[in-house]
Amino acid sequence: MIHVRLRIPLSEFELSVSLDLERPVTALFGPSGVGKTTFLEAMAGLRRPLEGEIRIDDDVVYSSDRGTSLAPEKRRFGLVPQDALLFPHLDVRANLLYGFRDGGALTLSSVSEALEIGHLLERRPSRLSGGERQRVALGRALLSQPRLLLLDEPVASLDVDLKDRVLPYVKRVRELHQIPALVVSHDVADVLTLADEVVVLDRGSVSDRGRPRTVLTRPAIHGAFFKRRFENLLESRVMAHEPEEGLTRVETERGLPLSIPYREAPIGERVLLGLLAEDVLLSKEAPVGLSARNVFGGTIRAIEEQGGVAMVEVDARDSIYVRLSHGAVRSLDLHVALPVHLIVKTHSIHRLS
Amino acid sequence: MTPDLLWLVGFTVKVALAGVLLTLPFGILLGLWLARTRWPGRSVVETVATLPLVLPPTVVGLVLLEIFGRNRPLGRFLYERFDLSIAFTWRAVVLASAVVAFPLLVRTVRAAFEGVDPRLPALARTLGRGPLHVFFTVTFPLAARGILAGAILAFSRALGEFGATIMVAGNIPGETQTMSLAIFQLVSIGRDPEAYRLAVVSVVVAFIAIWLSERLVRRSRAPLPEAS
Repeated sequence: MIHVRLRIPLSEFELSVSLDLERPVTALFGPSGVGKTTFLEAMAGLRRPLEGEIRIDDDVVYSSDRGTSLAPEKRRFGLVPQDALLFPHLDVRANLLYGFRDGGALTLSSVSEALEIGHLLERRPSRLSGGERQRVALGRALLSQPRLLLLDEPVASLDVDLKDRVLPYVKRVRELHQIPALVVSHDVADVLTLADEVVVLDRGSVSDRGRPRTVLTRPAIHGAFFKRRFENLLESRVMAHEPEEGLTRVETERGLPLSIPYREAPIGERVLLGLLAEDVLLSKEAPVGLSARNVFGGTIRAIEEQGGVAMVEVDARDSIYVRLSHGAVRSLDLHVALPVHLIVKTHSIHRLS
Repeated sequence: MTPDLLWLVGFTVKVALAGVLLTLPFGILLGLWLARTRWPGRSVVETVATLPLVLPPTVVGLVLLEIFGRNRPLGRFLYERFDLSIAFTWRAVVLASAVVAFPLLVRTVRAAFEGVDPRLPALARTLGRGPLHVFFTVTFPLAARGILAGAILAFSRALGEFGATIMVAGNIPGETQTMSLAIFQLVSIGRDPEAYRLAVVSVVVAFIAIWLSERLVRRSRAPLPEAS
């Protein structure tokens, strides 16, 4: 078991995190700027915390009380930074083997096979795509036979192509090698796909924790994401396919029917859908002649405003949050209990799992 | 004049090269230290290290003479103990080149080390490698191109050294006379055509040195078209 308790001073507040990593993959979830990267650096021994303790089983890695702080090379925490940070002067093979420790189950060939990077071994990092870099960085960390993997926003780089997404590889590696991992992320999809447990950070301290599906669908975390990309999460079931229309029809648990882009899936399968609050249009009148396939009615349940941004909660069987500007709320004269129509393009709805 | 000319060119290149090789270890260490340290006194050290660049070379020569002259403590010690003469020998020429070239080397080396993303060596540590291993496999290779450029700059400066050399090594043909000293001597005794010939030769030598270095730097850059 891995026990972490750290206090780290940041410019605006203090990060204070206490964790017991019991599950294989724990995600530290929170918007950008809450010090997630700083926290990982402190874990890896690259930054001195104010005080705290890190223990892995009975081995004390860091303890301010005892004055113990293992050097980064002694900790054996494999760090995968957000921007991969491959060594630019080495080719992929030399990058992978940089910290190689023999004797473990992991070899160059097994890792490059699992990560599908075998054909890249002779390349320089500058000639890799974003996703390939991430995979090499993951392989490099794995080959140092770490006791714990530290993953910083594994798919946050926006240019990472979907086919390159690193998550399936992280998942595969985790299943193959049973190395515990701590993932920091602000991306709901990352956390849902990867983590067995999520710890929510808000203003430097832990505000919530538990199973990802339970925690991330709670509106309670909403406050922390006011200004950022807030995703509506909708537990749904596949109802019907209309391949010639390019649509799959689903229904949420509370009975809201939706059309999503066509995708093969057995009827009745449960899927978790994501819908960004900023991708929902709101109209006071019933719209006509629109191309969007999802138009449904609801009533405004609440309006929260902060810094020119309004989050409008609409009760449309499910609760759907709509992100609007303050100006839009005023000019439409929106208020609680007002009946409204919501408009969502099929392609704005994506499957998270 | 032909064998003399060959000798002159060879001697000049050799002492400049020796001067740079002599300063290289010190220049790299000091440049690294300056790039890393947060010590408040670092600007004083930096200023002192830069002095030979801005002082009149004759002053540098005078200082060296004060230190290494046969009648000065260190110079006498070296002579009596090791039978080693510095002043007015080829060794003084090397020493003068080294001292005037040193600031250029240190400044470029410092910039080269500062140009290495500090997160790269840090990450290398997390992969289980100690600081020394990381320095030689990550930090140094990433700074190598800049260090090479600094060494070449220092070499070019040493090639044309005049003031400090004439003070501490004199202008002894066949012993301490470099090309720039020879040109001075030829003009002062009215043998201008020969001086011009030498001037052309020194242009060619300098050209070759710079051209070679540019090629070297470019080749070491070639596999690194790093965008980020």
